Amino acid sequence: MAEVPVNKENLVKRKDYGVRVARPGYNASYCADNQLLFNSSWPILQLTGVYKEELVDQRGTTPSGGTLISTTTNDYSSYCAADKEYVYTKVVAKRYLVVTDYIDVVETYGARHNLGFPPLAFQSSTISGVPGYVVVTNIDISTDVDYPYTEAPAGYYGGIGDYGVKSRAYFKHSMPHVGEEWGFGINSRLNSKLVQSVKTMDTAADGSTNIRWRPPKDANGKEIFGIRDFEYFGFIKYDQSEIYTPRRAIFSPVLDPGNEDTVIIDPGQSTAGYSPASLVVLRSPMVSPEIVEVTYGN
Amino acid sequence: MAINNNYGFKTLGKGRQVVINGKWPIFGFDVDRVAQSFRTTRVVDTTVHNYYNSGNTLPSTSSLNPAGFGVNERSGVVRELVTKYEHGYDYRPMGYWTVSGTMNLQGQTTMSQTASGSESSWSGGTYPSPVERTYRLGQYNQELPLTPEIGKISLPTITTSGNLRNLYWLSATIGSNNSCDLVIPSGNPLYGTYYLEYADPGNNQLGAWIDVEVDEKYVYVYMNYAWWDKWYRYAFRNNYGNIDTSVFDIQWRVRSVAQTTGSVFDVNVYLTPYKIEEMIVNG
Repeated sequence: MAEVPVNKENLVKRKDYGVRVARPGYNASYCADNQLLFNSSWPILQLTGVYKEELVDQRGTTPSGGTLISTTTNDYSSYCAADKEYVYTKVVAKRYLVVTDYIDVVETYGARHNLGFPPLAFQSSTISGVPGYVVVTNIDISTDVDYPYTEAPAGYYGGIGDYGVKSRAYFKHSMPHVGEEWGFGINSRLNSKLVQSVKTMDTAADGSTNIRWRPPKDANGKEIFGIRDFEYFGFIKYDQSEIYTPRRAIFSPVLDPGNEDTVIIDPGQSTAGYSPASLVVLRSPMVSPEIVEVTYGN
Repeated sequence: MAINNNYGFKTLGKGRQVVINGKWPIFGFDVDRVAQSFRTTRVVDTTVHNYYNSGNTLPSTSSLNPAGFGVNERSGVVRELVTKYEHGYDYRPMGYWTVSGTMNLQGQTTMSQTASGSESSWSGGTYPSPVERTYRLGQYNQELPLTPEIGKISLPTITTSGNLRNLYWLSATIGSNNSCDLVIPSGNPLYGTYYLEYADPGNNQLGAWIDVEVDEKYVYVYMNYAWWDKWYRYAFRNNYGNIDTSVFDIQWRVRSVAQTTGSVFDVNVYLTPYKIEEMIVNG
């Protein structure tokens, strides 16, 4: 199969203006990208807000005097469904019996984000009746983009201390005190997850019925990074619906023969009317520096 | 909460889309804590899971239906700690985790069977001998590549239920074992062949999965594996139509457990320095 091209029209070009913070000992004007702590043109992953899960929509009226006879919960997964106003965590279908009539009520839970675009959002579990939270990021899953990447992963480094650029986070009324470690928006001491790519069917390439993504390659056609250096999130949509629903993205030579290192939206369990809609790829700027082997045995 | 104040800085991209906003916390790890905040635990699984002591009991004769057949079924999940390590914060930090590697999932099922009572009223039939026999009905293997998947954001409390991610189920059909069959001769009101059920309870499915939790001090990695225990009984009626175990009483028990030995996988935990509860926008 032809290699899935990087959509150059959507490439966010490197900017030679803005804010750059170099690692101690390097010149921010001339150092390489992997010698920077922070670059304001990097597609870093940011958190726009954390929300408590709420009831955001209800179809049907809960009857008074009825008996709840069944409850079915469809939990969307570790990341949420989303549209331009809301993120959704689960749908709960309830059936009540009133005398001899069945009354169905469908409750949708989530949060209102007000970003104006459908974002990538994570959720935590509901445990023992305590609802989880929704963590909304700055990624617009409906808009294609392929970000440039550093030529090589940033190396492991430490001992930065209180250095670089900081700004105040939305949930703080004042800048954190000296010595406080958190409460910042931009903090060049933090090594951020990067947004590698957002792909929709607009740039799926060659009339494909699925969205495919491959790790970047160098000039010799050799892959720079392995498939496991990335994390991917798939979404499907139903016909004209505005809601992006999670569907896992996988790499699978079995499901996609001949494409060993290609990520696709899982075509299994296909549901009539749904089609692939978005594939979001994140990467860390470095591999984990600490690998500990543990034997789990008895 | 100052979430709408226009302060800080932004960088804009195509179409004035915000690329970076100075008010939004970076989803990243503290470089001065990188060894604890961005850590991969490579798990080599060499465990042997025993059949779970479920406390299941033989169906009593008083509970048997008019046909003389009863079942007591139990199932569950064992959650075992694989490893834990200190994350270095004095509060519960927010983060997520992924798993990649290979899960070597096996199923193991055993059937034990006893029979008792007199055959004189049932002559001409085929009855399993009144001894306890164990059949190792199945050990089937499946290597499952773990596509890197995201785990949920860290939870506010530690509970016993946990996150369920990378849930893998093994489905297989165990072949027949005709020596378990019971044949009642013609002329008897219960004439026919009774196939003592040998399949795994739960529709031939055993599962195993990994999950991660974080509290104020530690990161925990857990292995979860499923078990089943199903006890059957036929106690037939005597010529007077009463259930009489001295006539014939056959019992058999099928026990199953998922095995994960041989699995090798990486649990990648990525922690930010944030307290999730203090970042809530809507109350």
